[in-house]
Amino acid sequence: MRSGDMRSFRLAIAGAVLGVTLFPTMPLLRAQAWDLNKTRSVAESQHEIVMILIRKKEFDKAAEEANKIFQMKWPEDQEPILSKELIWFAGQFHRNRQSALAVRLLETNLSMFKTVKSKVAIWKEKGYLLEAMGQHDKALDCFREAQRLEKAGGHP
Amino acid sequence: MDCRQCSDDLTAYMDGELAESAAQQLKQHLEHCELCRAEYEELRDTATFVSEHAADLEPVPEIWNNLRSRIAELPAPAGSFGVFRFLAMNRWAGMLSTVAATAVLALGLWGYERYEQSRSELESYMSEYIQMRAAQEHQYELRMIQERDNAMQGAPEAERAIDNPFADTRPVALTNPFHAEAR
Repeated sequence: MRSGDMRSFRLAIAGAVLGVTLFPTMPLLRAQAWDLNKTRSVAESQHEIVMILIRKKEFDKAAEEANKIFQMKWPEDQEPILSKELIWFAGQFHRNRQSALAVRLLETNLSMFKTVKSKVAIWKEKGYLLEAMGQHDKALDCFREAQRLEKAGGHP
Repeated sequence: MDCRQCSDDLTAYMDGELAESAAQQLKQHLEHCELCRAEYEELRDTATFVSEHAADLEPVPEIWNNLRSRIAELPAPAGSFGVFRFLAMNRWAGMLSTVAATAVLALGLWGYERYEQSRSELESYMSEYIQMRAAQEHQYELRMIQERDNAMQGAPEAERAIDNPFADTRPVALTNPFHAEAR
């Protein structure tokens, strides 16, 4: 066998091994991507429902619907977008003079967040809302917790 | 000089503690005022009597011993056997207590200082975020006003708003992080 043929043969063997190894995982990866897209699509609709309910001043219902977004099964890498969403909804309730509801929304969903960055952002927002509600001491407690998490987690 | 001042200065005069001019004035007053002179003589007689009988009034040493033993027999008032009696008995304990009290005070001050420092750090941490959020809220308000103006001027968003009871709605993708355009 010539050296060129030998190289082609080796490449073919390597390709076959790679194909055999990866083939079983392909449907799984595809399914995961499909699942995420489906979840995000549901969340997108859910977001619009919440916004409509807020505009209709149906705040309790809006909070219930908002909670559903965070109760869905999310991969960990989606946490930043979810914390952004949670803080956005809290802000919407606050702008509609529903700060207590906003605080409750944050408290209800805080436990599903695992990263320090998300937790810190949520604690700070809760503190901001409490300060706006005139509860200075409670607000300080929230910022103390955020500061503690930052120091413990090494997050600036 | 009047009688009141004379009465006040009388003892000092007898002890020779008055200034010469004041003593002269008092002496002149005594020559003219019968009442003050009577008071002066009474005081002088008392002083003479005491000085003549001072030796008789001196208590004998037995009296002191008797007095001390009677004090020792008296029951201690409730609560007095505590710190004070202990300190009286042991001067080292007193010194140690002082050192301990100073240390506690210093620790307290140090703790208070640290608490104040951490609180002020926390306040500035908090105000930083609150200022940032206040600026965000301001931006949001401005954006809302702008969108309302655009809608009133017939911008594309207004078309959606014609049949929309929620006229101040914003483009979906702008606020919805799950929308395909925002991904």
